[in-house]
Amino acid sequence: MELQLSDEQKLILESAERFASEKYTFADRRSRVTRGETFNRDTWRQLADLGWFGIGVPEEAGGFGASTIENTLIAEALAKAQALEPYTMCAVLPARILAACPEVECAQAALAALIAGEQVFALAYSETISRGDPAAITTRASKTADGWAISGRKTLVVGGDVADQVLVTALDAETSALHLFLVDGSAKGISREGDKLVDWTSGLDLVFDGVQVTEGERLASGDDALAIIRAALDDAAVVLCAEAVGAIEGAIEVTAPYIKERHQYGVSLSSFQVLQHRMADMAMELVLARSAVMCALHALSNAEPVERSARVAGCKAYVTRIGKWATSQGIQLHGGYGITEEYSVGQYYKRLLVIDALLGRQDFQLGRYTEWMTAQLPAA
Amino acid sequence: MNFEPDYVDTQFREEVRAFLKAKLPAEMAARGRSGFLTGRDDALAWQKILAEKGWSVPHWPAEFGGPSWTARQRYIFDEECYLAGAPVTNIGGVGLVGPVIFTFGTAEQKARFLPGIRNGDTFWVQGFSEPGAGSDLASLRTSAVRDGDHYVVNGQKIWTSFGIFGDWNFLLVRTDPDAKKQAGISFLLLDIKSPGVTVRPLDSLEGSHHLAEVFYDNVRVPVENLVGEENKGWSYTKFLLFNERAFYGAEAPALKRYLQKIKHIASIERAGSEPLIKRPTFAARLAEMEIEVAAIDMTVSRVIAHGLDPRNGGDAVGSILKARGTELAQRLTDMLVEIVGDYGAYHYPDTNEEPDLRNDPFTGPDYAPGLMAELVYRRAASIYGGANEVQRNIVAKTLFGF
Ligand SMILES: Cc1cc2nc3c(=O)[nH]c(=O)nc-3n(C[C@H](O)[C@H](O)[C@H](O)COP(=O)(O)OP(=O)(O)OC[C@H]3O[C@@H](n4cnc5c(N)ncnc54)[C@H](O)[C@@H]3O)c2cc1C
Repeated sequence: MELQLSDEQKLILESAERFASEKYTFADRRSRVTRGETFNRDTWRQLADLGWFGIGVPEEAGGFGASTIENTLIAEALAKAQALEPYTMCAVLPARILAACPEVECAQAALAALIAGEQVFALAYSETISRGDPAAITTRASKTADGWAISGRKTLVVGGDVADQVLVTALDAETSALHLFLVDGSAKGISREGDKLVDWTSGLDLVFDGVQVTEGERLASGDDALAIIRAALDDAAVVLCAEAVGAIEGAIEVTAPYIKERHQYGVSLSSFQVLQHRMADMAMELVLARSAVMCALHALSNAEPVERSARVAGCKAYVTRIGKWATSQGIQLHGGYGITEEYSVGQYYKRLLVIDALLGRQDFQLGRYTEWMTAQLPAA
Repeated sequence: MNFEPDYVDTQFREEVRAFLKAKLPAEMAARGRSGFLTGRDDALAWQKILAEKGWSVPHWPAEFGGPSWTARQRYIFDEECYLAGAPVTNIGGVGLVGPVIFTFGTAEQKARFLPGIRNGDTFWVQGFSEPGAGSDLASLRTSAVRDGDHYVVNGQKIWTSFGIFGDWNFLLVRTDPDAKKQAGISFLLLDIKSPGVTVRPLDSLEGSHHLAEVFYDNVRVPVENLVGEENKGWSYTKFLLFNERAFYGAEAPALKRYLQKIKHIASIERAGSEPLIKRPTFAARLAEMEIEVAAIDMTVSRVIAHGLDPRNGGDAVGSILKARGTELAQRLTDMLVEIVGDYGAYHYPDTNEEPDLRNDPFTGPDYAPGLMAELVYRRAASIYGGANEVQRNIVAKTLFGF
């Protein structure tokens, strides 16, 4: 085991930080938000050109090797810079799924287009009753003469407003087995409802009304499909937690100088011990959150699927809980300025609220962890 | 101590319920319950409905139109209004400046301003905080210089709640730059349409514009709009801030409404086939909060019944309630967002602030819009009305002399 970043990993982190801080200035972000722009294709292309979409994808699948560790470094840097483009949800997550379908022709072409940044992908798996569980869905796929017809509503589809291709799950209308399809984003019968998420990033409902797909666009089915999706969701959840780490760090880095400079009662706010301790607690949460992500990364590369999922769930429950707290305290220490769009600190808190919602909330994650933990107990 | 139900209170509660059932329009109640802050139209319209019944200024004395209720009755009234989804009336007028005017104002000021507040004709907004004067309010710098029978006001206020809705602005100005901080402050009433006033709405995190900056550039305010004596504004302010904390600090009725809402939504929302409320882990977390709300409610009831009591936090009870009440509200609104699942992350435009958008279609269940806005707004509750750190300083000083 080596708990330090390698030289190569350090390089990736540094270049990610440099790129993100130059690309995503707060002023630029503000003006994009005002224009209502959730996604910029040129920027997306630039991220792809940096090689960040193929990282974590095995070389034999057309990726650049490396692992989820490298994805977390990039995600952390992007979140700290408050990137609007959904790296974790639209690059890491769909790439994992596509790479897990090496036998399917269209999946391989799609993966190449994803890695090159030529096309944008979204995963539409969640529905109101899912709450993190990809098996809990009601969308149906009915057999047609030459393929399938999909009907149902998917929620919180990140990238759904811009995706060229959408990965969709549906239950077989006859057998109730779960199928995973790759659907053209402009296919007839897909409509979009909703606008964007509270942190101004992409996310909305995709409604499928008899959307036709061919048999060749069915990527996987049954237990295989669920296993592929679950493994990809685990990877993505850890990368999302790395985003949370970046957000916590960002909130700390803007709050510390703020309370130093701000004066009330003739003294710097940083002279109040209660605020010093608050920031000390925030710093403690940052250290522990990063370690929690490392625990989850450790499980990803070592543990069996059941334990791996449980440990990832534990990480997500913990990191979102302390992350929401730490970023909310960034707002608190800014006073009124903290709740305006004119200061960046509140965006970190809103990002945490969205991270909490994505891929299953704290309650669901704790439930998963608890189930596994208690199953480990020796029988009484 | 005994806990027998009070017949008079029970009867009063029923009377209030019957009134709300008959007079609170369903659409207004839906907007009130949504989680978005009440807009100007509903605040004033509801105030008018209450005024017809003589209930629009519950804690004003009878001679100014108050209903002569006991403190307990006022609390019951508030609670029932909240639970029914009634809009929040203009706190700046009814709760804050109204009492200052009837307590310290001239006969002319009372005659001129109180009916407009009582009847829902004028909307008042509070101009105390400045960019450099937040927690340390007494360091405010906006100045007023006497020029004949006017004051000439120059400076800037910030965080003016509902600034864009305002007709009138009550504000603190420095009239004696040489006096000790608190000693040179006066309390003015200012027509927000006066030349030289600029209101700039601020973008809040949740996408609304309930806060504003207000700039004053040589604004002329007639001297008859000075409340009380020049340079005595700080004592009226302390009176006002006491009212603010006492009446609005804990917001126990709002806490009860959150509980009600959580139970409602968690019975509808499902994880797989199971309603959320049936999940033991979820229900236990909710139970803990409900138990805490009951304790806060009892603390408020004790203040209402007996005033300050050393067995109930003594002089620090206002700060205790403010800090704990707002922090519990933060946890409850967090749970509200959590239980709507995926739609908890969606941005919904504020249809209370922008009536034009009310008929636009939206995605998700009808209770989803407003929940996130309320959660984000509640982050501010530990900042406004005296930040919670400052409340804890007060508790430590009051109870222990630290
Ligand atoms: C939603 C909202 C509505 C508001 N409405 C109005 C309104 O209508 N009219 C109006 O005049 N004002 C209004 N305010 C302003 C509000 O009163 C101030 O925000 C508040 O007094 C805090 O001041 P500040 O924002 O400048 O923060 P600061 O005073 O700069 O405080 C920043 C942080 O430092 C901490 N701090 C400050 N002093 C101490 C200390 N001595 N010890 C320990 N910690 C300390 C605070 O607790 C806070 O966490 C509103 C604010 C908000 C957020």
